[in-house]
Amino acid sequence: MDRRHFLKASLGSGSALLVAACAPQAVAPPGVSSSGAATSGPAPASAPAATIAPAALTGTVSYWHTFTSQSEMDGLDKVTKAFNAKYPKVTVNSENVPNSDFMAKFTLAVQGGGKPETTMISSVRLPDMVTMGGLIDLTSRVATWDQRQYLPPERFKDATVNGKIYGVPSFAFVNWMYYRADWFKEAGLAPPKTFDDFQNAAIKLTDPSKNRFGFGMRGAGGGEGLLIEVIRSFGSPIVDDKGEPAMDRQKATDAVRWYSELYTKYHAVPPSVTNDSFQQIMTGFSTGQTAMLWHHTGSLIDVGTALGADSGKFGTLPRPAGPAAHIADVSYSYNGMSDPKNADADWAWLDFWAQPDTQIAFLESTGYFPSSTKVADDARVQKNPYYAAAIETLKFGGPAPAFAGSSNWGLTVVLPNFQRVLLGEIKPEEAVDVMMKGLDKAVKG
Amino acid sequence: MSQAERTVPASFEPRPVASPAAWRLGDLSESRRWAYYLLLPSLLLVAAVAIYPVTSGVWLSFQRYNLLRAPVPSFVGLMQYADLAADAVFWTTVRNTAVWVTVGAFSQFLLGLITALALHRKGLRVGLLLRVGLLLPWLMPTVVAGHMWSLLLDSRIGVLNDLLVRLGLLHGYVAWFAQSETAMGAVLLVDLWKNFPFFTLLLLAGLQGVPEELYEAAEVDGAGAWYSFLRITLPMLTPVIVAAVILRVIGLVNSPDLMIILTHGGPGLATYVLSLLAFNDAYTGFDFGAAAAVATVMLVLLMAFTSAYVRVSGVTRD
Amino acid sequence: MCASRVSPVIRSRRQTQRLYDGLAYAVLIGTFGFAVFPILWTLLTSLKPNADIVTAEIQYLPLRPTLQNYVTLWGQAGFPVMFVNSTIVTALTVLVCLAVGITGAYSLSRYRFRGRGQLLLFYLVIRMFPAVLLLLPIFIALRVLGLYDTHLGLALAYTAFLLPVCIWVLKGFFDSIPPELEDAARIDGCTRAGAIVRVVLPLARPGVAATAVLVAISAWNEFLFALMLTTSQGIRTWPVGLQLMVGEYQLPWGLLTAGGIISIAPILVFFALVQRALVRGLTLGAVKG
Repeated sequence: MDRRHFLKASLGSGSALLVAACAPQAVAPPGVSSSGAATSGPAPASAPAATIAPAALTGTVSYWHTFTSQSEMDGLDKVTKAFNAKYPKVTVNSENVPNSDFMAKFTLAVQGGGKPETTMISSVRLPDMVTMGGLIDLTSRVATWDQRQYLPPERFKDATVNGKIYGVPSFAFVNWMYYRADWFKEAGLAPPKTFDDFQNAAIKLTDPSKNRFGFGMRGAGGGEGLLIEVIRSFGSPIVDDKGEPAMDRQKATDAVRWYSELYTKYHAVPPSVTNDSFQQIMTGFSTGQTAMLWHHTGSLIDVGTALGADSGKFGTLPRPAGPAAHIADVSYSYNGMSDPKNADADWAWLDFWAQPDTQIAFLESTGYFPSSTKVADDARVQKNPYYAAAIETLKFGGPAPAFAGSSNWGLTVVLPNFQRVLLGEIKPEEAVDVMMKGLDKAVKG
Repeated sequence: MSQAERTVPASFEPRPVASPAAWRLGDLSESRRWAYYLLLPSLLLVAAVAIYPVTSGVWLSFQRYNLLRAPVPSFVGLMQYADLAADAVFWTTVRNTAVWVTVGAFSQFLLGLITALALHRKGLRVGLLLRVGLLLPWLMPTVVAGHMWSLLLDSRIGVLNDLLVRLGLLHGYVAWFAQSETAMGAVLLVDLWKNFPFFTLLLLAGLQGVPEELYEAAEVDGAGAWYSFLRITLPMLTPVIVAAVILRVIGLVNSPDLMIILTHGGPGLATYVLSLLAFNDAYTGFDFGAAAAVATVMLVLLMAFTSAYVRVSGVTRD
Repeated sequence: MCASRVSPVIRSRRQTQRLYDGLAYAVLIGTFGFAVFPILWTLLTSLKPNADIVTAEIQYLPLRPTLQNYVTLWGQAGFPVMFVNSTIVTALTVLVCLAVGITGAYSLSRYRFRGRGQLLLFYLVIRMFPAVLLLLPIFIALRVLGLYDTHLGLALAYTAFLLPVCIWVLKGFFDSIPPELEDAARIDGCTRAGAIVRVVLPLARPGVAATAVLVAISAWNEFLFALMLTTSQGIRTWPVGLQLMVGEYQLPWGLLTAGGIISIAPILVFFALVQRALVRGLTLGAVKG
């Protein structure tokens, strides 16, 4: 008897939830569509404020994030305290979700209930989260937002799906390059500006007798993003403006060949490459095994701690320019809304992250590059010699191609096949063929 | 089969039942349906939690249900299975899983068995420290064990690499997880380390249930150690061995946790196993229909193995 | 041989015994080394400051040993609570599993009925299906029953998965206890239930202890269900806390290893308590009337 009752209940709720999850557009968040009128705030001249007087705003805001390190948690702490000072009646409940399991937990919440009110969203995850009906459209709120002046439209590109905006940028990860300035000086090499310079430097700085390699290539998890940047630098886009597959077989093959030969032909890359993910390439660079490292601004503090911030041992540079294009991904961490229960309080939290003071406080704890141009113009950012590379990159860098299913394509098609090229199991052309086939399947279904 | 004669200590002497509750339970136990009453609690619990999820999972494998493309499940018959059969990656995972399970189960069973036999040996002084030490790998949470081993075998700062080089067994540090030849072996080693205590624990407890008199009788008859082992120990241990092997095989087929931390299926597809394929389909591709198909394949394979093994070993024979 | 008054046959048997003893010691020492070395390394790493862990020259023994990692870890928000939650959930799981598993395993061991073989296999089915796909139904079920994010809810979810282990392992042990002993007790006037309690359970103590350890360790270290079925405001457990330390760009080796060492401690205590029971079965079997 128990069993039957239970089965009925779960079948019933299960199917109800499935139906709810299936119709994302049907869920019209209460505050958003009418918010244009209700929440048009005070004139921009006054201090940036939420639409309802801060002291009067009430509600509980749940927030899912993937902050891990002490510095990030300190930053979050600072931001939360400042938020509580401004909005004393709003409670923020932050929930720390392990990064590798974030999508699994989010998917479960979408299907089974329990979505957070607000959540941190990374650029690569956003299209998937939108398509499964997990995020709320923020377009009208953003349109009348006073912080828009400091957030140029391209910063919202990664958060826009089908013309609608689903996230507010809180900080940026600007892809750049670290290099061993001391080794370069020793060898009399100039910092590389093009792919040719880069290859040249990698080969010259490889010295097996000293256990030195020119480039710490990321051949495991996350490395697919770097390969895609190289492919685009050779002139092959991934998808076109309409979102259709647009890879150029010849150019992509040239790209894969050039990149993989750094290892297979010139041995300028440590032999552990196919198992080297972030942890390993960082270890390699910190322990003096590699001369150059491709990552982004988020790791600046870690590299600084490992090698000494003012030791002159390392420097930062924009990524080198490829033969056809100068590509560097700039991705943003967004904050978005998932459950519209307390829409106004939620929006206040989202808005708060974009405030210049908040961004400065967070920058001081984590070193993460701000998303607001007002903050980027701040002396603390401008005067820091390491950030020069990021500021320069922002002039040409842009979002990585992201579409629903791109994460999966990158991880299960691009990466393993690139690893097989590195291992010598298949040729670059063959890998590109598989990638293109997989891309068709990912886009067209 | 010779009967072990064990006398029942005096405390086992049946006493007249005193309290009404005991009387009721005792009475209950005399009823014809006693066997079923005993079964009821566990059956209800497992059925309640197992039936719906598993049947809905299998049913899902006949649907197309992809959170990104087909958010409403639609019946497609055997399409998911046809797609799997046509996918070369699927067959690679099947091959890898076969290697993973066979070598894993054998190696863990063997090491567990010889360790249990050694621990059980009469007259050896085996302290608590040794006993506990042998169990430690299994106590360690997978997230810590996985990352520690990837650090131990790291090609730059790995202690094991360093030791092997100092001992002269290696010329230089090896990137164990980065080469397709050694990746599977390295992961199998980590799994062996983590899980052999499971066999040690069970087999030791089983060994302690084998009556001493059997061995003594055999010795008097002139039997050697090998003979005792093959004719007394193994047969007496069979129920425990079968249980342990089945559970371990199921565990090997079904948990991608260690693989995810160490190699995530790489390099290339060298360590890509079925459980990882199901995991990726579900939580990277959000294609729950495809994941359900892979899961059902795993279920069928495991059921086939378990029934066959149970029948061959005679554990449920009358 | 002339000096010895012992017959050659017995002498060579003693030599063989000593040979086997030597082999046994070799096996134990080898396996012990294999098992303990990584744990030792984990302990050593936990005593080093982070800067000394990832270095170009491997540091074997900590040059600057410190307990800072343990202090920091325990001081981090929520960690002691997670430890307590894990303890409660594990204890509940062991209790329910044993209570329900012993009865089921006994029945399957002693009684022959139609479908017995199939039933045994049925218990395993829930373990044969990958947990990732069982998450959603169980998630929904717990929410419906109001047991989401509760100790009991998580313990029930664990029990469902660990019951097959319990039953199979316990059945194996019950199988090796001769039914004649219970018959003897019943002839003396015991009820069937009495026979179980007075005869079978004491003899099966090693098996029950082993099963309890199995269940406790599995429940203690379980991560996936703990992550999905709990929240940080509720009863988040220890393994989730450990996983939280592994970020996309960070891996604090010192904290993670300290967490691993802390993880082992309660299980060691539990095992030490239970392991006397594991040994007791040996002495019981050796008693001669």
